[in-house]
Amino acid sequence: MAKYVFAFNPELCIGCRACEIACKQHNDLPVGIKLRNVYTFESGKFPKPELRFVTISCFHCSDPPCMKACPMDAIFQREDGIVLVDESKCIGCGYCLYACPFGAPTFKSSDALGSKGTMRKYTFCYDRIDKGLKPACATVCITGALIAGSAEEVSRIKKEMAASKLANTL
Amino acid sequence: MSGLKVSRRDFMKGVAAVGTAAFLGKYCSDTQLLKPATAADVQEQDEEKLVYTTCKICSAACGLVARVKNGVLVEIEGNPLDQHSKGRICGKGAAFKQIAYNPDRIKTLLIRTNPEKGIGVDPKFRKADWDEVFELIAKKMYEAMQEHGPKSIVTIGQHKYNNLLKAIGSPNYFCHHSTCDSTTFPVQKAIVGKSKLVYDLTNAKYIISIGWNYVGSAKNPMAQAFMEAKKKGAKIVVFDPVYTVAASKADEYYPIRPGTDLALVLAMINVIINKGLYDAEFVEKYCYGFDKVAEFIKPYTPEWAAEITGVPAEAIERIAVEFATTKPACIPMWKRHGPGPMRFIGGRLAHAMLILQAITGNVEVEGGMFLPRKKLAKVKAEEKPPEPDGEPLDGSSKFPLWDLYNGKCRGLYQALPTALQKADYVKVVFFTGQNILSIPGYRTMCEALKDKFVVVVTTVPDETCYFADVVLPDAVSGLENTGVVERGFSPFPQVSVIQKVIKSPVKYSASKSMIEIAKRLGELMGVDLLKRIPQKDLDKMLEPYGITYEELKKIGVYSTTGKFEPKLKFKTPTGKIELYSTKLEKYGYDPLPYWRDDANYVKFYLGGLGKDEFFFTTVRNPLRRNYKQNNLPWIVEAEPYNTVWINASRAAELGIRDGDKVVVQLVRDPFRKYSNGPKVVGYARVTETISPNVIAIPYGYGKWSKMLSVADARGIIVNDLTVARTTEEMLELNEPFAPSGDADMIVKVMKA
Repeated sequence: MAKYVFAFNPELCIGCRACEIACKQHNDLPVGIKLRNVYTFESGKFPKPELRFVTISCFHCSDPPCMKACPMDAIFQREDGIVLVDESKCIGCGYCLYACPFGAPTFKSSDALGSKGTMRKYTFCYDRIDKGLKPACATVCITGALIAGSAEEVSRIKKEMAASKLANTL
Repeated sequence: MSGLKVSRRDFMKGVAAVGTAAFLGKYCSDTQLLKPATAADVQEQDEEKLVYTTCKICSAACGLVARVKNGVLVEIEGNPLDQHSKGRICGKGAAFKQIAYNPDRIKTLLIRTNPEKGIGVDPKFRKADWDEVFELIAKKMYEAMQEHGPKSIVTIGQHKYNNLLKAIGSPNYFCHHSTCDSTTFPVQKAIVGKSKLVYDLTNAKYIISIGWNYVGSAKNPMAQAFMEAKKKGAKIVVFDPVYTVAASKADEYYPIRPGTDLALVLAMINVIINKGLYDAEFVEKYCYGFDKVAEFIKPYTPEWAAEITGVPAEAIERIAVEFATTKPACIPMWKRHGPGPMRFIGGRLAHAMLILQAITGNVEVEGGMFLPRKKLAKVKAEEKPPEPDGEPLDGSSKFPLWDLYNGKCRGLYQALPTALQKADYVKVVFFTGQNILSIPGYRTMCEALKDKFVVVVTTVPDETCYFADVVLPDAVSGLENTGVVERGFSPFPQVSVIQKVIKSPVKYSASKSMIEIAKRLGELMGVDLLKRIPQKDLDKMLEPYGITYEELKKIGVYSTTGKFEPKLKFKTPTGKIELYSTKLEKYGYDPLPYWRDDANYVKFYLGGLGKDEFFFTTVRNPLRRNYKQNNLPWIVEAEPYNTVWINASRAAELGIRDGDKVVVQLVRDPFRKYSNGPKVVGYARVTETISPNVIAIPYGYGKWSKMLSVADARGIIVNDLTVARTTEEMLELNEPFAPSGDADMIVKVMKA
């Protein structure tokens, strides 16, 4: 069974937030819940400042701390590595958020425990994966900064990109 | 998801052709991407339908696939068969459905009941029916025309109403191009004979951005091309007072003094000619007036430019040499970014950039600039419209070269409010698909509209509606109408379909309304106005492509293909690239882009700044294309309001901290000083990413319409800071094309 993973290259990210909005669209999320977020970081001093962009969501860890923390066994991992939550079992306690190093578990109004409710998090668009498609975020990504696929595929792409960069600079 | 129903095998097949390229970016060569598309890879699902259409949010016009269930739009995706957008979309596209399903969408015809008009004055609309509304509009138009002639009717906004105005013989149809691209396009036309030039960034090895920031505004295909070039190792140099996203991806960045880009480009031309690094063969064969350029460029040394621009002479010289010796190379033009064409110096800058592009031989080569390839047929009206009733009221006909281009899109937006105020004879004004907030000095326009009969065609009750006597609901172009879009961004002509994707919540559209008005007004006039309006004959338009509309519907996009063939024929008086423009000369303008020390805008930029003073500029947000996204829930959630970008050291001097409320006030522009100029209030973003002498405010935010429930009132309306100009001021510039100059301002900033 293929494992699904992401790769993100901040050098290519232009902070356009298409991934963020595509995620809202695909999951038809109301205002107040965001499963993917883009952040802008500034550093350095004018006239040599730097701008970096990062897109972040649930990483679908191999060994998900949220799953271990959940007292209701509401969080489960599919064979392909995708970590999902069974909302019918979730009681909205927020243990998963304590456990997650990335703040991925999201409750309504999105900040820590917000107004509670059941937990939602980025699903890797498993419904699209099951159709042989890429997650919405990686599909729209204008520059290819965010890529998703099977571990083998992503690893191959990353190797090819590195090789191609070398070829262009050597 | 049950959407793009693609079996794994089909998917891999489809994606092998296009999707993998979309996914990998560069691993599929462009020649593969340029193959004609077929729909075989994407098939329809049982209950859900896939419908191809085109995004009409910005001019990139990306191909889309819509997943539709029972007439309701479920999801928009990029069309993977589109060689241009490569199946990817920006955030604006991903939120497209919220334009159609906006909580404030106007669904019925409305008539005003409150005779008093003003900013913040409730129009007190009531619902009205079809006959009542169109009888009223036709009657008002007919009465005005009886008394004051066709010129008493004005339209502002979309092109489709131009046809109605032409049919009745009114010269007064205006659109936004003076705030957008109309400086570069007519210059392009004068120099190379065509406008909307294409820059093949993907294959360029050297790119100079003079404020070009389509990555920052997420102009999808152009952003892709730029990043492709970067991935391939192209060298990128950015000159911009704002450290933009493009700057953050560049190899070198120079915070040039605002408004002085022309000096920089002239100095680069000087270096290239002095060192003999120009493409002598190309210049000899295809360019006119090189000798004159070589003579005129002499005083513009790198040292001279360094003084003016703040860019070191050494850097100017080195970059010029690199640009001339690294082929292919591009110095692309753009639209509304900070140092953009709407600045008063924009036309000359565009001219100089074209000279640089041409003398280095980077024209009609892959990785350089090429002329657009188009072949869609034009459809003419059955009957010739009457001669226009006089000159357009904004004086745009006094710019003869501009009007050559602006037969379709004329208009001095910046002077329109004052011109309209003076034109007593104007009785009926149509505002079509255009937010009044996008007009420089729009508050003057608000005044001008008070005593007119105003018809507003729109999808949401924005600020424009506060001056409407009648509101006509519009359809969302790209989702609720039909058509074809031709995109001239590739070496091969390509066309993309527009289909009625969804069951529209609105029964009306701008086109339907326009036809109804023409019908009823025609009856009153005793003329068949419809005969004077070109019919939307899509099959006829598509004829040169050898494809019908029905066929195009099935494949979404159709791209012709082949081997890249240079088209080195230039429709100029000499048949060559006119570095020295005989056309500009003939009309009494500078035939070469001289740096004019005596021009008021030059003095303006070289003059000093007071302690609390800054040059002003606007920036474009990737999620907003002007005001189209201002009321979309997902967009407003992502970034509810804009801020005042101010350099950290200057902010410290003024005691301004990040997040402080600040006032920005207009102090002077190249024409006037303001003792009590217009001002805006907003929150400061204290940043290291902007020059100490510049303030930037992103465009497309703010509201005061109480009828909009999503847009955030904390945002700054940039045009609350601008003033309406006059036609006389524009003529005083003595430029062939009058840009709006809505960034040519000095402002002061203080804590609120």
